[in-house]
Amino acid sequence: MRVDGRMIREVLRAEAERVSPPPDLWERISRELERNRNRQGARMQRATAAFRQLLAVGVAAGLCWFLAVPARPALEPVVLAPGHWVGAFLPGQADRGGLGAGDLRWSSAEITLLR
Amino acid sequence: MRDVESELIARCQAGDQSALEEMFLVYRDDVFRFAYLVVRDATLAQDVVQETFLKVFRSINKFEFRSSFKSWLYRVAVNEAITLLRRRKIREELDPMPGAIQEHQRGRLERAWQPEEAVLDSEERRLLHVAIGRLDPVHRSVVVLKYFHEFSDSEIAAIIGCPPGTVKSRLHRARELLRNHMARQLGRPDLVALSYHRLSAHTPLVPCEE
Repeated sequence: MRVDGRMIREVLRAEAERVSPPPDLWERISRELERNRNRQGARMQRATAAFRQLLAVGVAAGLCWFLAVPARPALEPVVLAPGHWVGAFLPGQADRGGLGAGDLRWSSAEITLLR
Repeated sequence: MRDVESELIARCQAGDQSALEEMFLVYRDDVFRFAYLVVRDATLAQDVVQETFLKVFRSINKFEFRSSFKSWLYRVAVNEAITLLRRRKIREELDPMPGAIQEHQRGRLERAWQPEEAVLDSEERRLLHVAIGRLDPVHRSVVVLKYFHEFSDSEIAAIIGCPPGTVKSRLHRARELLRNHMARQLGRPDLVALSYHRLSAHTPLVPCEE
């Protein structure tokens, strides 16, 4: 049985000659590409609109908070019980004087005792 | 030619619509004939061509000129043709046609070869035409790429994502299957190779890289 490359080639060529692509194939493809582009554009528009809405809600909420909440310092000063060791490391604690644990100066009684 | 092609691809990547059409016109006939020879139905072949070009155009920005554009295009076409045939097979399994209709359709396809109209009119060639139609799509793709499009083994390997050795063995198997099918049809079982049953046993319906 003879089945060589030449014979296969001839059979395939003869078969392929009987068909040709339809003339409207490019129209179909370009229409589909256009539909894709429109779909993508619509998706982008929806995403932008959603982002704008979110931004507007955020700004409105911030404004309401600003109007409703009375003015006060943004950060409450840390109040520590006298003698608390953490106070030693807080800035400005030592300058205030008093009996805080941040005060590393010796009292006169302690100095007298040392003497 | 390569420079012209590169320039065309670059224009497509820049979003030039006329470049897309030019690209389509350059490859339309080849891709359509390839699809037709693999799926063996003009309507299905149109779907394969449409899907192939849509996929390629949608992802043309990802093409980095590392491989040949033609290989990439054919690779998409092979995958589309096989996917489409697989889908059709599943559909037919879910909704089987009555045996008589199936037999009628098969006969219609086989009679589609009109010896008096064709240049090649011998009984041998008619049988070869039928035998090619009986190959599974993976082997048929390789046969079409090799003998119709005249790609080299390494080019086919790049298209279907297999080593060149696999391409050679697939071609060998395909020729063997064709020879055996024809021998059976001619009523010459003595010409059927002993390996026929092994060869015609379930062959994978997927290309190497999937």
